[in-house]
Amino acid sequence: MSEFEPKIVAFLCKWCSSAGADLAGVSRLEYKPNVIPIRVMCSGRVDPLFVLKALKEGADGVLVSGCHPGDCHYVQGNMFARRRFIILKKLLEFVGIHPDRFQVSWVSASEGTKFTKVIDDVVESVKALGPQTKFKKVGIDE
Amino acid sequence: MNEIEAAIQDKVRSLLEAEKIQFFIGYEKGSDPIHSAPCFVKEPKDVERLVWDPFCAHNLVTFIIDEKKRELPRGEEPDSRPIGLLVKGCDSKAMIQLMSENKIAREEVYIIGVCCNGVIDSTKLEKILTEKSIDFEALAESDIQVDKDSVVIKYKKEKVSIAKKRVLLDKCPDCMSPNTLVYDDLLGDSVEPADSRDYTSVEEIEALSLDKRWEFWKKLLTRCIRCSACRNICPICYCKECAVDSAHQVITPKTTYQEKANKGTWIEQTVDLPENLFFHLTRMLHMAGRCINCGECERVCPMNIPLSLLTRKLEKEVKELFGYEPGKDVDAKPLMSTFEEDDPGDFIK
Ligand code: SF4
Ligand code: SF4
Ligand code: FES
Repeated sequence: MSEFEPKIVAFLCKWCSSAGADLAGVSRLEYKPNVIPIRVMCSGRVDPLFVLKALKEGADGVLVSGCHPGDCHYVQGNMFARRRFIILKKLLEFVGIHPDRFQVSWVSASEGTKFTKVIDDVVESVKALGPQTKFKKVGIDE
Repeated sequence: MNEIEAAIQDKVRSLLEAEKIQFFIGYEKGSDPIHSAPCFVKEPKDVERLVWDPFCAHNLVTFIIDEKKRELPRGEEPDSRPIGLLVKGCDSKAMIQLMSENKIAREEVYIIGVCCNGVIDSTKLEKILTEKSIDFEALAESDIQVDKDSVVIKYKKEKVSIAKKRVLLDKCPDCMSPNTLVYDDLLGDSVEPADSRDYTSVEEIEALSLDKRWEFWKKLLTRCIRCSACRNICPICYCKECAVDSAHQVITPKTTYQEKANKGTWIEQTVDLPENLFFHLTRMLHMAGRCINCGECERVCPMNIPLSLLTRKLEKEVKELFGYEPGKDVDAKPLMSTFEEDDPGDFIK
């Protein structure tokens, strides 16, 4: 049997983390290919329901990445996001979903290396957890 | 009739006679002596229906929201007079929360507050009485006496005493606001609030391993039939269009592709564990910093799902993380549309 490869959905803010991913690309840095990136305008655009929906539709893990505090293109988007995400995290843990299934990071446009590290870490930690079966809808195929 | 009941009736009669309020929402005796039900009084002659007893469980603030959502029939002039409302201590937190969200203005409601000694959970009492083979439907109201620590029931010349704490609603023993916080009139003697909230039930779950927690919730949430009663009864849940209703988009031959695309389907109609979990987590996310733990969602659930475990967890987290207590201060800024520079952020890499 082939080794389990997790499927990670990553919501990356356009101005920092997505640009960070581009930088990693043009610098020819390598990172794990398990990530499905979705570019959003700001981490504040990420409704916690996006995360729940991704898990329900079969993602093994979800990453949300935005600008560092103070760097958000819309000034405060990531600060609002931070409040929402901690509540989401606490609730997921409370019902028994591993905290590593939902991760958040701040990656700036100049941090190509950090981006690859974050992705590799997320992939490794989710891989260690195995497939996400709790929240996943039955009948969603690989 | 007790003193408070008489005072309520007098007050409401005079308000209605002076045409100071549109109508009054209080409680009346339900279909059996251990239930009370909401009651809308429009005419002074009907005030005798109003009661105040330890079975007045409903949070009547919900009805103000319903009333505000109601479309005026054509030709009807809007009535600018306030609506009269009976509000217990815990329910007044809902009032404050709605006022802080600018959903209700203080002058829209005439509040008669009552200091509350705890409300009996009719379901718990019914169970105990059935075990003792007491036919509660045959009891007269005067056969039931509730005092400070016990419920005494006279049945066939016998006296049965039940410890009050066994039959109180779960929210009552650690209630920190038994006395109505906003009111026009306050009735009853002030009641000593609890010193602190009791989070034992939440901590018991937190102490379990992740898989055990999951097993626990799996069992409970598989039971949910998604009737939405918990959402509909909630006084703080007031949007006309709800995220969890996206499944009910009607698609006709005239529905354009833009309409289909713009209406996200967060939840599918199927009742299964992932959808149910999605429903409940969504409800909690949208209640963060807003839920005042009135326990109504749990009370109305036909499947007896202990939803207050979720609402109490939320209350605990919001308090620990942000020092925030919903329903306390009319001028408080809404938790989720504000932030502090030093909000907890250790979970972010
Ligand atoms: S009231 Fe109970 S059964 Fe109905 S949707 Fe809420 S939790 Fe589910
Ligand atoms: S306890 Fe339930 S009904 Fe009451 S405010 Fe909270 S979510 Fe709404
Ligand atoms: S623009 Fe990057 S987090 Fe707001």
